[in-house]
Order: sequence, then C-alpha cells, then structure tokens
Amino acid sequence: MLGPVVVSGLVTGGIYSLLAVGFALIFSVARIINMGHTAFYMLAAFLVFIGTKILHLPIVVSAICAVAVATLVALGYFKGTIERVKQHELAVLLITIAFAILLQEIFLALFSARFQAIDAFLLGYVEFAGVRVAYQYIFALVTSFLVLGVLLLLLKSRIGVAIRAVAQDPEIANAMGIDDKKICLVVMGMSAGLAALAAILIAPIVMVHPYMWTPPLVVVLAAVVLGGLGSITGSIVGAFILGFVEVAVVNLVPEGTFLRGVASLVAMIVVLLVKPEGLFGIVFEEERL
Amino acid sequence: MVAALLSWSFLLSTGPEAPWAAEATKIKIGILGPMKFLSGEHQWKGAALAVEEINKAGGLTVAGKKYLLEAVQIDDNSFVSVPDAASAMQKAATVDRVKYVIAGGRTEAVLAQQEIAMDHKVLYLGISMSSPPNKPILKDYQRYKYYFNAPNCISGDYILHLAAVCYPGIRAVKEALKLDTVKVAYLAEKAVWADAIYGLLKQALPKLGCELVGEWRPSHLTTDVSTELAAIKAAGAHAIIHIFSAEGGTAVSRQWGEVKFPAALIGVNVPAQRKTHWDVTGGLCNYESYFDWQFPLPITEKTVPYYEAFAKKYNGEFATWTANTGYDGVYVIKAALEKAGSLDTAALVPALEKLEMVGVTGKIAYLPPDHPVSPHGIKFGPGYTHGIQLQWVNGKQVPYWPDGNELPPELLALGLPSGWDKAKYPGMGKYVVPPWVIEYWKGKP
Repeated sequence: MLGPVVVSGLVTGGIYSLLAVGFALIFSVARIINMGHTAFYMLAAFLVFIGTKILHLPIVVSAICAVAVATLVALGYFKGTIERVKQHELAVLLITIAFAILLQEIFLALFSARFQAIDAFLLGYVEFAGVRVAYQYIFALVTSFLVLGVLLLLLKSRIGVAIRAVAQDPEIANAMGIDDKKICLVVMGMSAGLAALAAILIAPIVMVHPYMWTPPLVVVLAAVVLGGLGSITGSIVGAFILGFVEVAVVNLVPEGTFLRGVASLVAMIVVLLVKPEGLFGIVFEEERL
Repeated sequence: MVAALLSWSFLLSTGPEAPWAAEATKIKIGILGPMKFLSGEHQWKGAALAVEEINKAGGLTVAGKKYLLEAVQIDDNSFVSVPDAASAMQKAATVDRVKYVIAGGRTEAVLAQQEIAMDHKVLYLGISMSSPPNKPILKDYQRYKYYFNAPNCISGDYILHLAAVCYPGIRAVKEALKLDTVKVAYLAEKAVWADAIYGLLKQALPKLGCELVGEWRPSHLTTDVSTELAAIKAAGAHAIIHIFSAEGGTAVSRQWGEVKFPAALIGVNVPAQRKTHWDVTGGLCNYESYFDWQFPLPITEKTVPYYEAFAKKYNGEFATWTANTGYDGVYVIKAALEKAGSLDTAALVPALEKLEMVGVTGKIAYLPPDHPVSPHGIKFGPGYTHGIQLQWVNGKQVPYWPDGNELPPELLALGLPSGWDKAKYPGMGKYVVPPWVIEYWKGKP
C-alpha cells in the first residue's frame, strides 16, 4: 500500500505544483487571482492537439508553438483587460472566469466535448515499488522539478530581484526605478508559460477536452491557499500535500474515489482552521516570494 | 391597450387555433441528450436517420390521416448538469410543445426530467440503465404510465445482463492463468446505473469462482485513473470490470494500455464502441473488451441495413449504442402512434404495453406495468433485445459473445433468461487474454 501511495503521490503532486506555482506567482506579484490560469493549460493542450493531429507537425514543434502562443495570448489578455481593471478585484475575478469560459465554449464549438488524445513524448513504463508508472509521468515529474528549480534560481537573478521587489512593495520598487507594470507583464507571461508547459507534460497522459481547465483549477486554488497565498514554496508544498491526500483517498476509500477533489478541499479547510494564513502564509509583506 | 394586444397575440400564438396549426401534419419528437458528447450526438443522428427513412417512405398514418415526423434536437447537457437536463425537458414540453421524447443519457438526469414530463403527460422513452425511473409506475400508474425505457435500455435486475456479458472473458482469464479464484476489481464511473451493476456483481461473482477485490469509483468525466490503476494492481486483481458511459472511459483504455496493466480489461465502455477509439487511444486499447448493443451482424433483418444506412448518411461513421436507441426509439413511437390510432399520449400507453416489433438488436417488447423490478422496462434475452461483447484486437472490433453456449446455471439462477445457446451469429471470434497479463502472472500464485 505504501509504495503506490508514495509513487502516485509524488507524480500527482509534482504535476499539480507546476500549475500551482504559476498561479501563486501572478498573485504574489500582480496581486490578481487569475481564475483563468488553467484556461492557458487547456489552450496549450488544444494547440498541441491541433499541431500534432490536424497540422501533423512534430510534437516538439507543436509543443514549442503551444507555449509561445499561450504566452502571447496571456500577455494580450493581461494588457488588454486585466491591467485596465487591476485595482478592482471583483472585476478581475469576473474577467478571468469569463475568459476561461470563453475559451471553453470556443473549443466546445470547434471540437465538441469528445475527449481528444495527444501522443506521449515517451511510450512505455517502468515499475517502482509495485506501481507501473508510464515514462510520460516520469518525464513530467522530472521536467516539473527542473522547471521549478530553474524558476527558484531565476528569482535570485537580476530580473528575479526585480520581481521580488515588486511582489514585496510595488510602489517602493517603482520609486527605485523598477517598472512594476513591465514586471507584472513578464510574470503573467511566465505564469501562463508554466501552465502551458504543464499541459504539454500532462495532456499526453490525461485527455484533452474543453472542460479540462476546471478540475485542476480547484486543486490549484486549494494548493495555493493551503500553502499560503503568495508563497511559491507554500504552493509547491500545498500541491504535494494535495497530491498525497488524493492518492490516499483512492487507496484507502476506493469506493469514494470521486471524492478525491473534495478530500483536497477538506485538507485545505483543516489547515486553514489551524493556521489561517496557510502553511507558508504571508504575515508580513516582506515575506513575499 | 398595448398590454391587451400583447396578451391577445400571446394567446393566439400558444392556443390550438394558432395560424400555423396547419403544420399539425407534422408530428414532433423531441430528442434530448448531451449533444456535445458522443452519446447525445449519436442519439440525435440515429433518430434523424429514422425520421428521414420514415418520411421518405411517405410518413405514417394515424386514424386515417397522413403525418410526417419532425425530430427536434434539444441539448440537455445531462452529462454535465442535471438542472440543465430538467430545464431542457421544461423547454421541450412548454416551448417546443413536443408530446413524445427520447431523452436522458444518465439515470440522474432521467429522474429529474421524468417529473416534468409526467406533469405534461409527455410520452418519455428514457435512456437509463437502472430501475429508479421505472419504480414509480408501480406506486402511481396514472401519473407515471407515460414513462417507458428507450430501446436497448434494459434496467433493474436486467442490468445483470451487463454483468453476464463479462462472464466469458473472466472465464477465459481463469483458464489462461490456471486460477482457482479470479480476483476482480470494479472500476466504474460514479453513476446510479453503475451502482446497480456493482450490487449484482457482488451477488454473481462469488458464484462464478471470482473474488471482488474492491470498488473504485472515479467521476464519469475523469481524465486520469493512474492512481486507481496503481491501487488495483496493489489489490492483486487479475481482471478489471470497467463500467463507463461517458468520456472518462477513454482515459481508462489509454492508461491501462500505456502501462500494459497486468489485469484483463472487460466491461462496458461506450467510447470504446467508436471506430475511432483505436486512433484516439493510439492503439493502447488493444485487447480491451467492451459491451455494445449492436454490431453489423445479422441479428435481425434490420441490423446490417441500419449500419449501412448510418455509415452512408454520416460519412462512414460507426453507430454507437445511443444511435440505435434514437433510431429504434423513433420507430417505436411511430408503431405506437399507428397502433393507437391517436396522437394522445394516454392512448399510446396501452399500445406500447402490447408492442412487439423488430428492432436493430432484436425484438422490442415492454415488460408489463406491474413487473416488480422494471415496469415498462425493455424485455431482453435471446430473440429479444440483447447485447454483444466485443474486443479490440489489432485495430479491429471483434464480437465474441453470444458464443453459442448457454450461460452457467449460477447466472441463470440469478434471473437471467436461458436459451443463449440458440443465439448464434456468423462471424463471431474468441476472447483473447492480453498476452502481457499471461506473461505477468506466469509462475505467480
């Protein structure tokens, strides 16, 4: 029992963390709750599907194009809508949800709700602790860790310092000569790029369909709140906790597998009751990122 | 004044004397389903094909008057939202004013739609595979008599049929792996009809030398069952009975094949019925066994021509079971209208109760309204509606059951009809245990 829980928990948590980090990043820096975050995940997955199955492009080319297009769309979406209403939290919330639903309806109209498949980068599997794990999962997990590592290093670079400065206090950062608007735009691009990357890694395992953005959104929200809104480390830890909770539900309460999402939310509530700011929550603004 | 005019025009538009009453020569049949999903899409396509055939042949005659049929498509979104499904029925009854519907897709949606349909005395052929929508007929016949199962939708204990079709595959696993007891895992979407199957499997499997090692119930729209598969492997299952009506079944096929999962996959998976399933899963569904209501075998004189007509009308597309439900459903309504000699839905009820007609999957007849388990359910068995078990083998769908053998007495004792040894069709193959399953269990206890 322990083997399957550990292996599946690591894989699930690793994938969730990639999505959660992007969400946490844009919240920390731009202070927006981007409910459309996982819509970029869906957009990239469909772009890879279109690239490989309709245009018959190689998967690597399709994947690169998908990340690029999803990032560009995110930049346009940020510049054209969110930036204009950034001060009005409710408006941002509504716009981001509307954007996700708009994308969903576009893909529904184009491809109906049928599940579509993308070929895996790597075929085959390996057995760990009695669990058969597809190579694509290993690939997704390793890539997730690499990307998260690079991201954490990046936050220590010159641009990273600027991002952290804006995250801590945009006005002071601005007074120090940092263009906070530009930084927010860069972070939006990074956040969408991470979501797109997650799609490329995960979509060959799961299926591509117009409703695929909603289940991970719930998990991402739960992971980020659980870890502490605004904390990158917290979002990663939160994602792994939820990954393990879900896997534990499937193994311990198999007839209640459909409740795995609910179990994540219950875990989040329990943590919030004990530690309202989340595990790595921001008590002081200086602690951001 | 304006209000009075508006009220008057409203009355005109809704009353029986409306100017377009002349169009009454057309009888509308509502086709409600999740149209953005394969299930609803094919339900509509099958119904549209039947309407086209009937109209091309001159329509139908009811009480000496000629009518044409018109299918009205309503997307009820029932796979995603039960409230949407209920609203769609409300629309069908009050806006589109249809009196006959083929609708549902999921029992949960049927239960919600049923009350509205009964309020409006709409004849409702429900697409549901379990008996809760049938049961109210026993308690309040006058209100619920308008509910009948749609063709193919056997329900109640008759859902045991679905459990029975898994038997030949399980038996093959038992023989190939030389097992005394086959460990079986139940992997099914969380839906009412799948609950009913599980209840029956719990009774049936021990009698067939099987042990049920667990029940895993992801959402019907799941996209990832890798965790469930890991848990099933830990439980030591030799076979998985998978039950999926919605798109989640595609993920099951794919992830099972991806890791060459060491348990045979046998069950009900609607997405696997599609010809495109092989491509969608990248061939990973190889050796998956699944149930279908139909296949182009000469089951009745209508079966093969129906397949050919469907493929011709829809660019070579392969009809899945809801297509057949829509197709035969329209013919059932036509037969009832003609037999009753009336458009009144109350008059159609006794006509349907006595109906016997040849459909695509066998003779269609209804169980009596006082049947203890499934009143107004579809009668099934050899000669009547029954299903076929198939397997994907190297890109081809191979039918292998009925195999010309009678079911074992243990299954017949549970209430299944006998006479399966007479259900013989040419072109049947044999179930093949996935080679990697045999390889994995070689030498293992």
